[in-house]
Amino acid sequence: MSNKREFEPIARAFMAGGPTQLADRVLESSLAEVHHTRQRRVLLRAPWRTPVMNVYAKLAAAAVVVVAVGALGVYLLSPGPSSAPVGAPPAPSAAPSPSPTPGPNAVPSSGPTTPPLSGTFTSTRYGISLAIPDGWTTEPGTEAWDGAAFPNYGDPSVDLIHDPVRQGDLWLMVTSLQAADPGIWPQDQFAGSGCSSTERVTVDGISGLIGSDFTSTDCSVVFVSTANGRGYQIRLYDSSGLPGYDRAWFDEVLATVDLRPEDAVD
Amino acid sequence: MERALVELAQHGDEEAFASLMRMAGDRLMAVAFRILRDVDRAEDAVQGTIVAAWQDLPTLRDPDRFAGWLYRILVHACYAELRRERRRTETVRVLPGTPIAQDDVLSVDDRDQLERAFRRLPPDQRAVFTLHHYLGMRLSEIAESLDIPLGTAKSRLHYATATLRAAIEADDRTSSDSAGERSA
Repeated sequence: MSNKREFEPIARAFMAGGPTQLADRVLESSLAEVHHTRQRRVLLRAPWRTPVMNVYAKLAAAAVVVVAVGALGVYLLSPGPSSAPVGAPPAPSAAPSPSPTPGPNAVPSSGPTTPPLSGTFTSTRYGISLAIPDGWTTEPGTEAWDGAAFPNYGDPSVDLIHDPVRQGDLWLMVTSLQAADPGIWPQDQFAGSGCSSTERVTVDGISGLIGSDFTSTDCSVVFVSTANGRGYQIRLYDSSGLPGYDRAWFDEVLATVDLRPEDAVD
Repeated sequence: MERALVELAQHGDEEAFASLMRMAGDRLMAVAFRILRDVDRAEDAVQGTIVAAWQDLPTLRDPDRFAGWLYRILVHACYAELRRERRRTETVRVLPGTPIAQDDVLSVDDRDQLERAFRRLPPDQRAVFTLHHYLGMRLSEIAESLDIPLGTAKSRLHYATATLRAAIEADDRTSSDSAGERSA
């Protein structure tokens, strides 16, 4: 058998296996449920195709655009404070106010596209809490992690925190292992992952490792540490294409982490 | 014809909707199974998709895009099933009537390796891989259907393919190594 087989036929053959028919009972029970389900009403719907405009409407729209562009141009080109009317109070300065110099532990702020970290998730199973984005859905794990494999979305041992719309494309994960040797466990975690580079960081006073590779299926960015002999893993996975969910954002989340291994109950 | 049925269903016609679902049901089931790798979960995902599609159909702006829109609902239902999976006991049902046998392209070992590797893929990659290799959708169609950038669809397919290819090549190496040991 050659090591370089053509993959397309392999993929097709693999995908060909499995059922191709929906059981009648499933269809009928679904339609029965539909019968008792109300449709959402759309009160005002923008037309999918732009309706044909008459000539006067087109001229009016063009005039509005010209006036708006002109007004914007005048506004942008006019000198700032000197254009204020005489006797009027001075306009507030547009110069940025001085900001404090970031200290060594400061974390960069997230971009304007990410929701504020105003929620809190507390894992009663694993003894950890952290701030999470406003509106994200939390789904605590249902089983203790045995540490056998690098945990993933859908594993019963992980506390999953995900974007309600992007779901499997954008999520945070928390998991923990009861007994972990601080000397070898963090490095061992990355041996089975797709995180290509690691660096040492401190989270909640505990030293750990961060691995990141946003081009990897197994990584994005992962924090691994041990506290009181308990291993912790916190991971961000993002394939949503949305801006802002990067290492700086993850650092911002990590800055809110409160590790309480003594509270874990698994 | 489909467009006319979609428009009727958008205005609350249950018969038209039932006709649409009879046409689409088998494809939905096939795709859901290939993403979830489990019959019961696939059936649950399809059921959820049908009900959600009925609820949200009035919000569909272009009836000609019904099929892609339906796949987006299905993929999200599959994501939900993968999360719900965590609350159930791990019982993978062996498929009745779908014997797994050696074929011209895939040996039983190959299929086993691919199955394990596929289950390790994140759900978004499973979905893109299935839509591309099972339904034959182009990446641009997948991107539009799932409402993701084209580059994202490409990278998901790329990484899924790399993972599965690595699994099958590792299996090939193991097979050739053991054959070499036997002949030595």
